[in-house]
Amino acid sequence: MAKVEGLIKQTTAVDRLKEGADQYLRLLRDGTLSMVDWIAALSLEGRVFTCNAGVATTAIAFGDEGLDTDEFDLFVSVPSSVVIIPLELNIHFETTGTALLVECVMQVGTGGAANATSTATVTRSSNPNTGLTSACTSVCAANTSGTAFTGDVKEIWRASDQISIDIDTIAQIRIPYNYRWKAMTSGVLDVVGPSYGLAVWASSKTGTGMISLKYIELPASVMQ
Amino acid sequence: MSIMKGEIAQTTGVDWDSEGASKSLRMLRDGTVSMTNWIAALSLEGRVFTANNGVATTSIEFGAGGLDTTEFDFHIAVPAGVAIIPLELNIHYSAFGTALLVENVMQTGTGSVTGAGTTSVVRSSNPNSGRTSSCTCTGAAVAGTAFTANVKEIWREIDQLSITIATIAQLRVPYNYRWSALQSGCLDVVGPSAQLAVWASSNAGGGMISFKWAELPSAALV
Repeated sequence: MAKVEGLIKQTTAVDRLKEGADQYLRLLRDGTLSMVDWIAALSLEGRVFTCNAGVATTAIAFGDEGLDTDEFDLFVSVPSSVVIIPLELNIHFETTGTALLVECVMQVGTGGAANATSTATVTRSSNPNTGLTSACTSVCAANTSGTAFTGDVKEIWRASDQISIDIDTIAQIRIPYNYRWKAMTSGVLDVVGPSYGLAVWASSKTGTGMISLKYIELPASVMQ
Repeated sequence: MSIMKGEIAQTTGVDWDSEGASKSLRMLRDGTVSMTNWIAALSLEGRVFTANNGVATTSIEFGAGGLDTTEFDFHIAVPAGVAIIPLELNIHYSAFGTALLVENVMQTGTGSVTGAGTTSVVRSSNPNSGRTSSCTCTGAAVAGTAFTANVKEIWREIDQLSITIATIAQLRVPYNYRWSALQSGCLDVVGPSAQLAVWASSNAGGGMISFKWAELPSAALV
């Protein structure tokens, strides 16, 4: 029967070796094993990407007058070579316009396509030192019709507010301005792709703001 | 097939040995392995740092009149040789001023230079390790140079209208805005030779900003 041992590396004995080298288990001085979460490991590998639609002082215009299934506020096209796993979505309303239902929705499916006039987003790796880049094509702020999903639609997340309006005095009741979804909250990971789309809507009367999406991207072959 | 075993160290069997020694895995009496997460291990190693901008009764002034990409309420310059992983950000407003959009934003990028400001107080998670941060941290800066490339917005939280309340009858807005990497599970590597900036933007805000990060030799993250 093998007894598992590691090396005590709590403060001064910690070493960081080269890729591919053999390494001992890291233990605290009482024998407690050091572990890292898989998503954190993928982050260090550079395989987690952040897609920004609007940054700093530059907001994007969200689709107005209610949710339109062929006008995407963010659309990620996942090509045939990769799959993605959505991890985090953040929608921020700087304005919502006059009274109307607010609907924040994330769907995945096939057959969808954003209108060619959409705005390109900025997508960055979690570890720029690795040189990895995303193979997906992401666009935002589509204000003319593209193509709605035609198959395999799955609605992963939705948050709504029954009525929303831009406030202009301190006495008015506040509504949510920041809508957030995190895969870690439920622990469920949804594999999207290959050859799928992921769509986000931030729908109100005449909304503006920012959307950010974080996702894991892996070769499609490792998920089949 | 080999059966793996550790050593029961639940109460009286616990011992704390020296750095670099071989050691059996710590287990409870039912065989459960004692585990710590990687960030906690880095904390004990002294590689997690806290930067305080404003403490106790001393607030700093946040940028007034809306978000200005050249005026940083908090700025970290990560030099060559190290990289950081942001872990936690806390923004606390003591005052907002008159009505205006509130924007709390954290970005990373390159090419930014902070203007003159206050030097942040930076402390290690384990002072016994003797480790210090190689980064330069500044709070409440006047105009400098905005990011010029590689901008990534990691976090944002806004409020459509905010104002310093004067009577108990006025509606409250959030005063504490918090971000934690552990809540999303995503870790962002920043640097070497990059910067991280935080804005706490309102009409005429003031308060405190604290920021926690892991700092490692950049060679360990390539």
